[in-house]
Amino acid sequence: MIRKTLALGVAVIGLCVASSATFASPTCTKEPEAKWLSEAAMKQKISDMGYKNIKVFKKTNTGCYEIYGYAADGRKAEVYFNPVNGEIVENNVD
Amino acid sequence: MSTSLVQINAPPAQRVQVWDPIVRIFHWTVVLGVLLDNFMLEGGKTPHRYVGYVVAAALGVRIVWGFIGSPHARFADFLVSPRTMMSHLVAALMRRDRRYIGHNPAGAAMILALMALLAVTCLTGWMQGLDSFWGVAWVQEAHAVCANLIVAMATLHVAAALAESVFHRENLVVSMITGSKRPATGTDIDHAGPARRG
Repeated sequence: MIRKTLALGVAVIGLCVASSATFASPTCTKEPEAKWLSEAAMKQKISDMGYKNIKVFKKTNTGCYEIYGYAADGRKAEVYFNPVNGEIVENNVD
Repeated sequence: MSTSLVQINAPPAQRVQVWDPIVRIFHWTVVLGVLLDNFMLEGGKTPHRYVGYVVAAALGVRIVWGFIGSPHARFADFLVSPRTMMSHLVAALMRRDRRYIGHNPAGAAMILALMALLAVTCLTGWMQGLDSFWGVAWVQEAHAVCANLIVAMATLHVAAALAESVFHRENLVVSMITGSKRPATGTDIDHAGPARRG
């Protein structure tokens, strides 16, 4: 019984570790950074979309521009952008 | 080793109640919460948060219970000096450790470590929803590191509990469900804490 429990435990942990990979940031583009919008251009687009009070602006290692800021209605927003065309890839609003 | 440990355990009439319902509910609430938030519910989303709040509440109750709860639930019952813990660990590695009815010294150290990590994980998770820490990298990193450490420590904890179940011929997983254990006999120690050692 102990061995079965142990084997089951190892299997569950393995499955969990394998599935946790799905929580990484989204992939926004595979294009090289030479084709990306400049940070200034991206920031302008983000501002034009209505996001304000941007607290964090960064590049992710999955090919995105990512911000932590606030949506036009004041709710917190964590948004991933495609850096080539500036479109929203994932929008997490509180 | 084909004999079931459930069969080795003494019949119910000869067993003593060790883990009270709050200890057991806390234990399995944390198990479920850690599994859900680490592997199933995406960070930042509402379900992940509410699971975190439930774990934080359970942790708060358990810490209070560590001072006013049933004898084996109290910190004073199972916390020992680092020296005592080390000698227990050395003895356990040589398979010469005595059997404890309450938490053994290594288990006590694991409880403290996991409680501290849970507290930091809950705190940094909650902080990420505050305006003042919105998007702050060190809070996110502390949350992730502590969450990963919990998984690593819990894996060690499970391995140790299973090993001890084999060596002391007592199914500790079932005991954490039913709350009952085989009574102390021979060199067994009922309470590890110095205040209660007879």
